[in-house]
Amino acid sequence: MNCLEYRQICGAEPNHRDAAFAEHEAQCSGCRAYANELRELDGRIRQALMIELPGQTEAAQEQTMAPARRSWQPARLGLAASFLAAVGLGVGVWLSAPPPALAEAVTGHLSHERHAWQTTDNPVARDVLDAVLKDGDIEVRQNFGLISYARTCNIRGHDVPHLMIQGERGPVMLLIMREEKIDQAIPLRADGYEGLILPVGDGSIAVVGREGEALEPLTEQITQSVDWSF
Amino acid sequence: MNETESELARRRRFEALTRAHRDDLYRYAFWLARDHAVADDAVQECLLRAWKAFASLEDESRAKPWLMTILRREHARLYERKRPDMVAMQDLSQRENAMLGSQHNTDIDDLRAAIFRLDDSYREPLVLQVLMGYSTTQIAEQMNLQQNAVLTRLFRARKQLKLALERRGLRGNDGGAA
Repeated sequence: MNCLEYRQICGAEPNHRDAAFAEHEAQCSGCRAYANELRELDGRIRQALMIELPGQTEAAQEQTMAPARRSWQPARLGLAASFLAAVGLGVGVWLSAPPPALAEAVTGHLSHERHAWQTTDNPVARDVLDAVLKDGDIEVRQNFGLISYARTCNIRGHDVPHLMIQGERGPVMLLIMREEKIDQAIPLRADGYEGLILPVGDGSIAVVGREGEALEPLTEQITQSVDWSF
Repeated sequence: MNETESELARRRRFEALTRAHRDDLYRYAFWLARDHAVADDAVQECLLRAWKAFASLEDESRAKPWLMTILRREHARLYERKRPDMVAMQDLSQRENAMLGSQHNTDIDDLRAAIFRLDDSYREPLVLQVLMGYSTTQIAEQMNLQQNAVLTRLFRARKQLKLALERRGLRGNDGGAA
């Protein structure tokens, strides 16, 4: 193995192990220094790649939705709440039988996707919204208002369109749950948030905003705007 | 009852497996997306898909590459949906700025910024090798590449990082440039 061959291998795998590689390194001080430099660089690359997990840095920024209500809920949630909840807790809850009550599933979902809770004038991209609504077999009429976020989420084992619209006091979460039939409206309250789950056809729609949000006109508008056929 | 217990045991096994790999999953997702929110979504989608497909995991010792593969696919799917937002270069500096400073170490922050700006095709194999401990063979499998292509990308990734550090005057003390 010559120096060029050695450095080509070393540049891709500084810790490469084979006899010819080791032999050349033992004999060539220049290449040995090159390898040591790259190994030192790799150590620093590894340090740089070890980003702090959001839960480690930002959990303290957010309050949990209802810490006293669910023993499984983390005490603090941050931007990474959905990750932590999904990986460590949410999946655990989702996986543990029996499935949570609908109200609890909805309030539990408040701690997911914290980045969606932004006050904004920017609508979600039309193709994203269309894809989410298509997933849910749902049509939304034009008078629905500004939809700033859309994605398909899993609520109690069902794919559910999760939309964020802009209310008077900030974002309002909608979960359009065509598989969740309820007989009457269910009020929701979690730390700093309030809302309700409305029966709509053979399904339901959860509407949750920050405390004080004028939900009544919104709910009326929403139930009139959503079109679905069961 | 037995069925319920068995299901519960399966769920607990899945939870334990995913918990063991959650940090790696998140970091891999972050370096794929360079965006915490997208990484967050990708991991969540990955776990949901993984749970649905858990029965297909025959060898639990292979859980990590299995999860990584699912995560990579989910990230690609999210990327397709959110492409306009994710590739906006004007956002890059903002994202980079948001990320920098957390280490309180200028050298590492500068190196992180350089990694941040690496082309995706160079950054991903580097993350898999240096952070995840993948061999070049495993990286080739994960990325559907020939091994030679992986070696070339890794070589170029390091070369670019070295150059970036040299330009910033942050080259290591032991010298010996190639």
